[in-house]
Amino acid sequence: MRRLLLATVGLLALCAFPAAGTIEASATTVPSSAAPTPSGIGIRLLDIPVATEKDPRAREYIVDNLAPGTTIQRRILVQNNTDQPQNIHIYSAAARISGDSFAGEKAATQNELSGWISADQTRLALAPHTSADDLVTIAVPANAAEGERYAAVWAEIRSTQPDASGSQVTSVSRVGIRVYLSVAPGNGPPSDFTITALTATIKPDGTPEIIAAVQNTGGRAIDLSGTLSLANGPSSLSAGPFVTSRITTLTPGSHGNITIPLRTGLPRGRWDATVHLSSGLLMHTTTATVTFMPTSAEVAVPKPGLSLALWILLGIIAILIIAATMAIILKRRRRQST
Amino acid sequence: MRNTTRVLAALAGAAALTLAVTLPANADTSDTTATVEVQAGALSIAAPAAMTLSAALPGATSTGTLSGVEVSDLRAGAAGWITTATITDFTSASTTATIPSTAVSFATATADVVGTATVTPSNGGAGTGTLQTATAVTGNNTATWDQTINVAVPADALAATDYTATLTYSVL
Repeated sequence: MRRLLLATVGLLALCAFPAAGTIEASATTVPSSAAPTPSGIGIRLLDIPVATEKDPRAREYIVDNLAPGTTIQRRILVQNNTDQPQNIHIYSAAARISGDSFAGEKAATQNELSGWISADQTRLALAPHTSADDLVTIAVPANAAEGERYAAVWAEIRSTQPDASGSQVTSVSRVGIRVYLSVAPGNGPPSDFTITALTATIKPDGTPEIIAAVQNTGGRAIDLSGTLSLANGPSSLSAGPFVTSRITTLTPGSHGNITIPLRTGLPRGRWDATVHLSSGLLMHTTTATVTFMPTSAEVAVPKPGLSLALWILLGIIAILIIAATMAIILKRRRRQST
Repeated sequence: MRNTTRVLAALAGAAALTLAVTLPANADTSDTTATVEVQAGALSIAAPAAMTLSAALPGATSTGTLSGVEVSDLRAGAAGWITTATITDFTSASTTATIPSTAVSFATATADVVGTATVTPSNGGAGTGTLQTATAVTGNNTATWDQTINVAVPADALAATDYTATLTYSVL
């Protein structure tokens, strides 16, 4: 009987192994080998300075420090991924950092930096599914004031309007490349930031969050995002990593709050929180102890009236009184009968 | 045990293939600042060209939905992207009245994301706003979503059938 049992257990174990192998394969995200096909119009920065080729921000945006009187040129790639020929309008416009985000201004609003930026070809007529290069020149005048400025280089298409279906809304789509240009001699001011505090909060709907207060202590704008890990929690639990909910862009000297939403149902109590924040190649890590207090909805409200312990005590006293009374009655009966 | 080894080998092979975004060794020396060409795809947006808004009486809300707004980020990088929208005032050729852009609000659905990215929707009001923000991006990613626009028609709006406005989608 025992041998049969052992054999059954052994067979089951063998069956479990290949199952474990296939479970591992399906849980890992293996990228598909087919290239995704984009649609609409696209833009891409082609030339980046060799010195910054490892910086993830410099690979996507024009991030540079130039002395007054310098001119630089960068090639961009503009793609028409639609099924119709398109007339793509390429232009530079102002941008600003507000609400902790990099935002392009409406339409073709200009600022000082966008006035220094020009594109070789402002209209590119592209056949369906073709692309072309354009050359963007940034000419900093010799009398430019020092400081960092923001702009965007846009590639835009406009749907023809009004069209036969009588739709009321014309659609304009534009894709852009951010420009973070600092004017200063030499290499310009360095970038840096400090994580000043970590605070644990619980939103009204019960979702816990960690808020990291950050100060931009450098001379350049930073685009911050990162991850947070929790350890040494109640019952020695660990959790994470969790990611920041958005990219927070801070101008030099400003401060902002970075929110990292956590998992609902996270046990309340003390945790060690380690946050890694980075902007391009600049990275900082901070660890702090945070405490999640249970919300008023989660704390058990004591019922009005007497507590359970008091009821038990009263019950015992009542039993003792009844027992004593019965003992007295029995004694009296015995006396009467004798 | 053999099956686990096979799976690990397959994963290693797939990882090696996806890391094949290489930079060419030669630098472009025609510029005084030496630059390097980056080989990867582009950041693109595709928004349906036409949208119809439902008819509404003054004081009511007109709604229209654009399905399948798509942003594909094929830059194979780690920078995220932000998609915003602004709309102009609604003007009519037959009347002089306008519906101000501040009456327009945007309701953004959660995007379907292909690739490694966390895309968070947000709703905008007063004719402008952020629609989607992509963060924690690793490599190529594509997000597709339905965008709804609500126009709170003012109580003093004039009747017309040809109110038009221009909606601009920007992704940066």
